[in-house]
Amino acid sequence: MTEAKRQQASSQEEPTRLRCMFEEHGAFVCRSLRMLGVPEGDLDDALQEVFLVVFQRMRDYEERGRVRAWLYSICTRVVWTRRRVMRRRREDLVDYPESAVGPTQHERVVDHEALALGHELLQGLPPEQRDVFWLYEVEELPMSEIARSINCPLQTAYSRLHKARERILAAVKLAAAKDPDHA
Amino acid sequence: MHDEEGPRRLRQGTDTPETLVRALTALRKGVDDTARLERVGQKLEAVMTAPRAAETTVAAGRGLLGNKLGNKLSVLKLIVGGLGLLAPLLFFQFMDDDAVPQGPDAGSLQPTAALPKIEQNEPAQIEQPAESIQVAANLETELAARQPAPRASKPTHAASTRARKSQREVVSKSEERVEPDVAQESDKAASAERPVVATTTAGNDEPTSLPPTLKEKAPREAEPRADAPPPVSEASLLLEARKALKSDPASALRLATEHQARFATGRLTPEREVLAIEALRKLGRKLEADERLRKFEARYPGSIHLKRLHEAK
Repeated sequence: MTEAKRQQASSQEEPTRLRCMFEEHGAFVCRSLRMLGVPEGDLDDALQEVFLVVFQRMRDYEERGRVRAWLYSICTRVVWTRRRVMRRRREDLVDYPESAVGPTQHERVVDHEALALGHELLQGLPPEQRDVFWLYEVEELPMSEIARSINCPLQTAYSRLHKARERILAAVKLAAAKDPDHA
Repeated sequence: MHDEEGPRRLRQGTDTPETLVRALTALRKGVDDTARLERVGQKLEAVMTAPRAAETTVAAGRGLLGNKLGNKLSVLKLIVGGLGLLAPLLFFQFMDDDAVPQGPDAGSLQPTAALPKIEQNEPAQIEQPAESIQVAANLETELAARQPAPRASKPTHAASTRARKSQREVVSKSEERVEPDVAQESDKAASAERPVVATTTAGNDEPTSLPPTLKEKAPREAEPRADAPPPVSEASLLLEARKALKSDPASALRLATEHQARFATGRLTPEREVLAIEALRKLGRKLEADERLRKFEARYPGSIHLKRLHEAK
């Protein structure tokens, strides 16, 4: 009975915890989803889906100070599933209506050009390097957390970061050479 | 902000090209998602508040099953359930005997009168003397205070006061599932309700309005209730619904609704939704089916059932 009570108490806390998590990390999840290639019109749904998964799994998740890494791993899974579904829809349901939310939201772009370049650079990386680069260089998570999040040894994560950096720097140099205005 | 664990970050690096720093900063700042977050936050709020109550009840039940007392309790539940189901029958039997109950003893007399009836439905309990049933009745109250499960018998008690209207109604009431609510509230309600039932039963002043055939009808009607403890697990409930789908989509839909009420956040929620959609289609309620399918798709975009559901459209 005490066990049941404990569970009940924890399940009463969950909405509050979810709310906090959403407020604190919602923007991070948005950024990550966008980086992972979710189209603007699909972002609302994907965001909601991520937090529904969080809500379901919260009981299993123990606070270990790596919420973002955990959230990111959920993001990657959600995006993967959605991408698969989208592909199937395209094959089977040509007339499936697009999401009600269009890409023209009132979002204010901070530095449109730089943002576009950033996304372009990231898209040029293989997915496993992109994950590490994104979480380390942009979201600035500690490396140990990143390694756990993407399920690889720490050294592998470092080597991926190293390779990603090389590629990115090369791409930046290339872009600068092509378009001297941006140098 | 050099991280002790790893190399200096590119954005802080002195030899990083400025374009890259700008790009990384823009990526970090990202797009202003305030409106989006607000929108989705509201949706989530709605989702969170809806299925929570049911989840709590299920969780409480699960905790109890793990309890060492689990076996004992399930035996008691059987006895309690039997008594609860038979309560209206006892009442009719009593009225037919013309022994109008007066005073507080009336309640305690009932279990004795019940013995022959119990025999018909649950032979395992024949040897139980009247006292032990009385003990069981006391335990029933205790049980009700400890877990939500026996609440299933509550509507029967409540219905017994209305029983004179029609016996059939009593049966349907007893089969009705209680909406899951917060366990503590119902516990209080259960313990508060019991004494009231005794008095209303004893104080019933319209015995003559009962149809004379009721005494014969009662045991027959009770038969389906012998196996009344409805399919307990999620799976068996849905299996039953699935079986009913072809021949009786209406009852399949009813079972799906029952599943929704009892296992709002159950593991088989997608399967239930699929079943409900199919049932609605069979019943010709196409608009409702489409609406439900739309919601299903939004919630389970990766579901394996989607293709089939769309094909059958």
